[in-house]
Amino acid sequence: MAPLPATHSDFADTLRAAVRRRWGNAADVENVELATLGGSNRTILFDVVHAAQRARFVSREETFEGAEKPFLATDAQFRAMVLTHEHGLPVPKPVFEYDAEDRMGPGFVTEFAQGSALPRRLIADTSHHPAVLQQLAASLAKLHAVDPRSFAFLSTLAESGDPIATMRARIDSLGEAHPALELGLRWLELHAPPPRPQVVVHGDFRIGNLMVAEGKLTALLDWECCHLASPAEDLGWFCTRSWRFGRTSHHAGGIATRAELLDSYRNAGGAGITESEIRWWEIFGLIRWAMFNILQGYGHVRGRRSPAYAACGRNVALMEYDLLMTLAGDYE
Amino acid sequence: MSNAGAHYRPSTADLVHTVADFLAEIGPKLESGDRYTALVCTHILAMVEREIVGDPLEPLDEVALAAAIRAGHHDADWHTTFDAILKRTISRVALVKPDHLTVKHRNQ
Repeated sequence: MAPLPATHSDFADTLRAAVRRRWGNAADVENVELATLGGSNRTILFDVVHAAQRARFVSREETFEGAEKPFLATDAQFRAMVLTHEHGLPVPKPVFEYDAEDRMGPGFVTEFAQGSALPRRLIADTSHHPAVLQQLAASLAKLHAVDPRSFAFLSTLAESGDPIATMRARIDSLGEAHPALELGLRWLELHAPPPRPQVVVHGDFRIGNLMVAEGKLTALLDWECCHLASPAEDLGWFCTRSWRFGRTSHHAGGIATRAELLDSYRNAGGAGITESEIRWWEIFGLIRWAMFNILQGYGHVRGRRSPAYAACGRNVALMEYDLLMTLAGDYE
Repeated sequence: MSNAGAHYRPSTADLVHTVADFLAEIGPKLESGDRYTALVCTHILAMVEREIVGDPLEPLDEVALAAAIRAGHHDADWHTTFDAILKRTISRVALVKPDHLTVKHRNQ
């Protein structure tokens, strides 16, 4: 955890005012910490102390601006979290959204979920892998069973449309040609599986966005990519090589094989999805991960600067290599 | 005695290397967020050094190639196109992060 940047005291004061507007002047804000500066949101942890009670909360603010952004606006993220929470999914309980009077910009506050989302820790803790696999497959099956009509506000998103056309448009909007990604997209076009009815997908379902405490899945984090799509998309993203954290023979997030994930998902009531279908979405996932990195490099040169974002732009070559090696059958 | 380039010693690559060495030295002493950023900066400088020392990529109209692939114009010569793009991608990875390459593609 890093201390907050220069605006720390201003930020803490603004946050305190936002909290007091809702819970009264006796409420105080303490232990404000910057958790991560993620790809699209700033995440801040803080305590609210009120009548001798202390509870930890999370503030999420949008940091990525511009028409190119492929992320859900925070009001839609908040709504998606409210609905999934109501459906009994493990989601940090949404508390309130910031409004104009808060002077915070777009964002919201949720309860803090116990546990760790750190990939290395989860991957190293192999004794818990079967239990974690079973729980995440069950959560995914439950999410995919939700009536998509209650998420109709997601239907106008580009990501809820044709995935190949949307990905091409995303890449085009970033103004850099990538023949390797075009090969991947053309391959996808020529080998598309039969379409499935659309369900609500998390959209960024991977190790790193799952909060786990002692083998218990406590929360699914980061709903900014939630949309309507084939349920196979979430499973394929989970298996995408970039999310295996070096344990490449364990296709499912470095914790299980592809077949084990599909079995768990089906046993939990999910659709019978084939391995070849998942592989199609893994190819899509490698292209998508490359696109996100192009996006960060693009953001860097346009003023949202950081060494990490600068590196992302060049690191795209690594994803392109993995994509080509997977298409060639060298990578499994 | 030799004055190989337009500049006095050290070479541009050596200058970059010098900064990278210093960063690698101070990185572990920093707070966790800055420590991570220092690692990223070391990665960036190593990439720049390899770029200065290595051969430039062959000129290629990648905009035209990307459009032709999308239009299906390379479906008939898929393997030739694929091999050429893989070769170019290997060259890029060799600059960005050589140990990302599988053994058969290293030192090509």
